[in-house]
Amino acid sequence: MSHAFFVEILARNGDVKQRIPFHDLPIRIGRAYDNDIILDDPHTAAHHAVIETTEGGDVQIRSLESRNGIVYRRQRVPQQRLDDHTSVRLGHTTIRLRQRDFVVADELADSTNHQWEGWPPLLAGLVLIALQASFAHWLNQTGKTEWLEYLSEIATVAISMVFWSGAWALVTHLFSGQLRFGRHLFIAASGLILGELWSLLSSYLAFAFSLEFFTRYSTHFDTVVIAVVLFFHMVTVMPRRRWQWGVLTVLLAVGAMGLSVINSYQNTGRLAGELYMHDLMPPALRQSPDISIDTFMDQVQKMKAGLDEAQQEEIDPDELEEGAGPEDSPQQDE
Amino acid sequence: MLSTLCRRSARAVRWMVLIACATAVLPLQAQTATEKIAPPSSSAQRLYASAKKDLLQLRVLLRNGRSQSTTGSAFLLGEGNLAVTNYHVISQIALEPETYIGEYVDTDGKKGAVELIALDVLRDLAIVRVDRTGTGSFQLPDELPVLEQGEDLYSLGNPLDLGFAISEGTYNGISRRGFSDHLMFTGPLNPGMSGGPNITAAGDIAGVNVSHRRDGELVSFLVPARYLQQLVTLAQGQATPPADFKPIIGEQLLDYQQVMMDHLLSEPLTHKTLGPYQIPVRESEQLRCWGSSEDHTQENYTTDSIYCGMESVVFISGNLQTGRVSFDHQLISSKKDNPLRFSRLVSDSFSHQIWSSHRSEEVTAQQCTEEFVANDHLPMRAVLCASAYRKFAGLYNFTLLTITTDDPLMSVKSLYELRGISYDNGMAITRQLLNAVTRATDEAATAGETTGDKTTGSAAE
Repeated sequence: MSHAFFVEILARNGDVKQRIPFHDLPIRIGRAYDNDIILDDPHTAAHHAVIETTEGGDVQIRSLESRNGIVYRRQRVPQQRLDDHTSVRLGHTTIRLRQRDFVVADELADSTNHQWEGWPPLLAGLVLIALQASFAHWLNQTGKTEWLEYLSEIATVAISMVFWSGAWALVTHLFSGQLRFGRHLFIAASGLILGELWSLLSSYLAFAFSLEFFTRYSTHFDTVVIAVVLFFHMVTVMPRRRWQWGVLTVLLAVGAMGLSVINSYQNTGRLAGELYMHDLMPPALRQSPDISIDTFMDQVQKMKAGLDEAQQEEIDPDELEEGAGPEDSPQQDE
Repeated sequence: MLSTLCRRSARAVRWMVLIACATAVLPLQAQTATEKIAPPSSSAQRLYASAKKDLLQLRVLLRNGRSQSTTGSAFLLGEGNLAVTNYHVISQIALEPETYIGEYVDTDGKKGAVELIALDVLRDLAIVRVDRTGTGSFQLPDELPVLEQGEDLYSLGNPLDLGFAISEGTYNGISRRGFSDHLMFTGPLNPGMSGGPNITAAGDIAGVNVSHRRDGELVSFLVPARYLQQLVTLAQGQATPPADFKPIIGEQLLDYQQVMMDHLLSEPLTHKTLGPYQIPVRESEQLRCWGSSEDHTQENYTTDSIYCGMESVVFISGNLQTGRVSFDHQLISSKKDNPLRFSRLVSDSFSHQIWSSHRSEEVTAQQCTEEFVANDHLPMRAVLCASAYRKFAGLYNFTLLTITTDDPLMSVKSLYELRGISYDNGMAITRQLLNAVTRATDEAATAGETTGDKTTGSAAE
């Protein structure tokens, strides 16, 4: 037998915390035990309000002997007509009344890839981690191939990724009751591979086409990769809030970039992370033409004006680092 | 034997220790007596007795609190009120007269004020005026006596602020490792003796105590007396000293760098061979080159290095030494590595070669130009960074970093540092250096091999 009225106690974000069905009105609300809905909110009165039918046939909530009363849209009201979308606040409790004939929203299409859960993404993630760790180790090591070193490298990366994904899985469990550990591991591993590929690609772009921009601001590109990874982790935790997470990660990334620029400017006086590009690649990859010595020297000549301007600048004595000459100089034994 | 004691590190090595005041204590050696004229002790006794009236200790004090910052020695010339010392003893008074003040103490313990009159940064000399006159023990005749190698010399001063002392040694010719000559004095010089006189057995001024080599035993240096004459003439003609010495120092540095650059560019740069590459060096009395080779067999690559650097610098202040040139070349090669992996190895060695600070009191932050360039023979990556001297307009530090990009398994990385030069000179030498790296045809690889080490000290006069 279905009920006619449903009083919904809402959480701050609008989710329903509790739904109490009723066959008929009035419904009395308050802290006293003779009410239909007993509230545990100390900011409500013993007999706080009543939901009833008016003479005109509408449904309304009316305040009884309460100190805090009923608040609707930030205004205290003696009574308020209730429809399916009206929520009112009593003390710290927000309630809404819905009737049986309420039309619910359309069914959402399920975008969650349910096959890609559990073991398959977990194993794929581990394979990606192994690939990335081996490649990075191969690239940065010279000389003989020591298989044990590869294994230890892979193990190190894998363990740190397992911890990272484990933390995300726990957070997911907190919100949705499932761990989705495999998913998280796959996301983390994909991020690793993406970072590695980007580092190669940016070095290539900088080296092949003289686009030093890509290595000069490499920390910012790394930040973007990390932000993308965070986004996917968050979406995995709460798939419904895609937009919210998107905005959050963009804000985080912009904030991190800003901080890194400020930090770099404070430490070095320039916005770029490095003084000059040091990434070199095999000469065969060079695409853009080399410039002549004359052109290079013209550019050097152009720096003079800037240096002379800096030379003229008075610098704040508090800013000075005592003895911070660029000389790695012979320390003086006076 | 010099070479076995020298460190051949590519980094700048501290060769000379200016001996202004005390920190390091070097072992003092007893002198072996090989004199013909008189037993050493009596000679030194006689000389000290006649010189002590005109011998001074100089102290640089903080105006605020009057605690001493540096101590050195000085001596009164003739019967006048001018005293000679080293520039590095009184550099703080020259650069920061608002913070530092000088005072002298004579052998009787009497103190008095010191006024800076003239200085010569390159020769490390200065003239100060004091409120007493000399007795004429130290004369500076127009015709200086000729020194013979092996001759006895005596240095006077106040080592380590312990008390006035005289030390004996021998004259061993002229060292031309800097762009101004030094006399080699084989005898002990200790911090605190800087600026003190060095005299012959006859009591004539041979030079002024200035520095010693930390990596040697009793290898000490004197500023020759002949450099003094010019400065004394200038000081005597100067009734009132200049208000600000910084422009004078700046001018002297500009003159000096011109001498240095004329020397560097006087003839085409010489070439040395590193693998198949020809790299530019300038080997001379002032610029010494050292080579080393390392075979990283385990890691599958080898490095060969040639480092050329000046062993002397111009001391301006504790934070700033300048007028120095160094060339550092390194060939990294691998026989059978993967080119991508090799490029990573090369990248590592190419990184962090140039350092910049925007908070230095002495120089501005570096500004850099970086490009892939090609000369007539070779493509390379070139980075040029320059910074300007804040206190001396017209002087710059140039750092040129290049690495060849013609071979997938071999690269020569070169780091050239030129400190305290004019922009035009920096440009000129950078252009020459960029054009000078070439690759020999493979069969001629070892033909132009090095001239080897030249013998160390130059012959005595």
